[in-house]
Amino acid sequence: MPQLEIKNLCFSYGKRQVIHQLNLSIEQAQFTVILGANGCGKTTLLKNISGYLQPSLGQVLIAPSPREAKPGQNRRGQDVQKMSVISRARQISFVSQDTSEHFSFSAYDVVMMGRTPYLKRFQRESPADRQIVQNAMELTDTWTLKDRLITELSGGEKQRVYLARSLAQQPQILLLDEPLSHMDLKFQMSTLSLLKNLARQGMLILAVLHDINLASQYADEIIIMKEGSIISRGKPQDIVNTEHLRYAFAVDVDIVPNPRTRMPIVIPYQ
Amino acid sequence: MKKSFALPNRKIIYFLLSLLLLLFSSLIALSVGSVQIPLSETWAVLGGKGEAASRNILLFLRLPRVIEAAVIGAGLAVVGAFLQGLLRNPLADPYVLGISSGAAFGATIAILLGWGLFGIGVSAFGAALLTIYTVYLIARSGSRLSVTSLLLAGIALSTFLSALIALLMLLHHEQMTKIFYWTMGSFNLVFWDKVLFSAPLILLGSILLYFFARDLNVIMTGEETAEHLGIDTERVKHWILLLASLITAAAVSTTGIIGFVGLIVPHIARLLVGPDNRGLIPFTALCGALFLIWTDLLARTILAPAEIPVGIITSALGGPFFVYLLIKAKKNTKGS
Repeated sequence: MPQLEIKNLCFSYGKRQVIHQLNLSIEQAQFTVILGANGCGKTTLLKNISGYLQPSLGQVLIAPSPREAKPGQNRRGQDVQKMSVISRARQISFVSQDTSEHFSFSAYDVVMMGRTPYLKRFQRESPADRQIVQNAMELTDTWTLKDRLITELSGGEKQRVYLARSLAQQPQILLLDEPLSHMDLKFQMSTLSLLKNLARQGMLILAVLHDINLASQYADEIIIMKEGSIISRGKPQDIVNTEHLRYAFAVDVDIVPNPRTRMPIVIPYQ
Repeated sequence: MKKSFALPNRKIIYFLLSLLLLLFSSLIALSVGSVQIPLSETWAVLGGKGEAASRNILLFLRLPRVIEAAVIGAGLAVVGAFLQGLLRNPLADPYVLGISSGAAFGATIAILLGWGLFGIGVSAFGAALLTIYTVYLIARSGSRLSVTSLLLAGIALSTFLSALIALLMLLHHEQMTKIFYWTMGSFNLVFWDKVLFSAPLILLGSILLYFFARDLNVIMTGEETAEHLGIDTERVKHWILLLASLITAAAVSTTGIIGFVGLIVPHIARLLVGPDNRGLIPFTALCGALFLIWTDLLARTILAPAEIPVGIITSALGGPFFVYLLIKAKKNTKGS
């Protein structure tokens, strides 16, 4: 059973079909980046995988987690639509691109909310929960922000706090929708390194990014989408080329190799 | 570690202070009125002694009134806190969503039909539920609920129902004063029968709402986020709206519409103890009780011996407060 398997997925907002019969199978935990023009269905795809949106046709299957699986149970994939909200939240976490906050919780409280799927109604957070939260905040370099109010943090700081909250969920699958959009270069790089490390340790990571150069440097694999379908998938050096970018984004660019890593770099020209 | 000890302490101090203040305020509210009773005498009566005259006034006129003010203040404030959290909007309260007007409409019909206390209560609850679910259905697009359309639909339906109530008042001159007093909200006619009918409902509803305190915390950071954190938001929303309707209907059917309690109190409480609903909800309840005890005391003393509806006072305070929140919200959007 692959870690993630998407079969014949279709999704429509009203009459407008956004995802067309999309198939995707990711065998092993790895760091995958989704690229594509605005409105091509990247976010919609992520939300179908997370189970938040219900596909009009097709299925999203994820491998049962070793933590939740009962012995003897056959290891077939679970349909995310048939899982309870809580068991989904224990296996899949989602970092949204929305950074609007209306209430002044501390950053620590926000990250602690990542433990929600593990806590009973009136159960208080245990020392183990606190340790998990602290680890998540240290990994994302947000432990120093823990007493600050989420409403007073900058966009980039919020995004790191949201990532910490998602890590506190201890997911098998981590979905990120433009998680770097407000971060400076330093944190973009450290966050991407972190994601790559987490993938090495067995987390399946799927991120929508816009920076093709950063994506090429860090991703194990890149998926390029256009109008609700996957047009290309493969290692960055194999698929980031002028033809694909022209087709996906309707732009003409040059591609040169990074002098150190030989990974593709996009050079725009007039 | 420092934080986890320092913060609860401050909250506990606020909590104990407001509890003390509540006891003290209740004693004052019992003693002050058209007949002044010394605090010592009030204390004696509550201890089972005291003179017959002051016993009658205290135990049969003022005590039910003060208890009902406290319970309704607490209930409306808790409902307000939940609605504000649910809609992630500090301007939400039972009135904005049309729950109060729905209950008021149901109760008006029952009054015109000559029904008793129980009938008025049931009719108010039924109409409140019907209203909030109509608002809900209007606002619902596809499988999800839009908060903006929920607020707009609430305001529209609320205006419509208020117009119907006004029309019913005009058509039934003989009942006009009764309905009018009651649309403004007053504890004037609250005796033990009303307290025994509504207080248990309001307290029970508030306790059940408290079950959703942590869920609400997560929902306050966004509905989609909440869903991704394992909260069944649609189910929680249904429960909150149901219990909010129950509490509001129980309050409105005994005293009429008392506006803005659910708007002002949770807002101030949140400034003092922060947004975590596990601490905020009990504190809001205490503040709501305090708020209505004092505004009711004002209502029956400010033009003594005449009495004005307490709803006039809460609205006089709430209107400007609403505008203040609007201006503040405007500044915030400009700032960011």
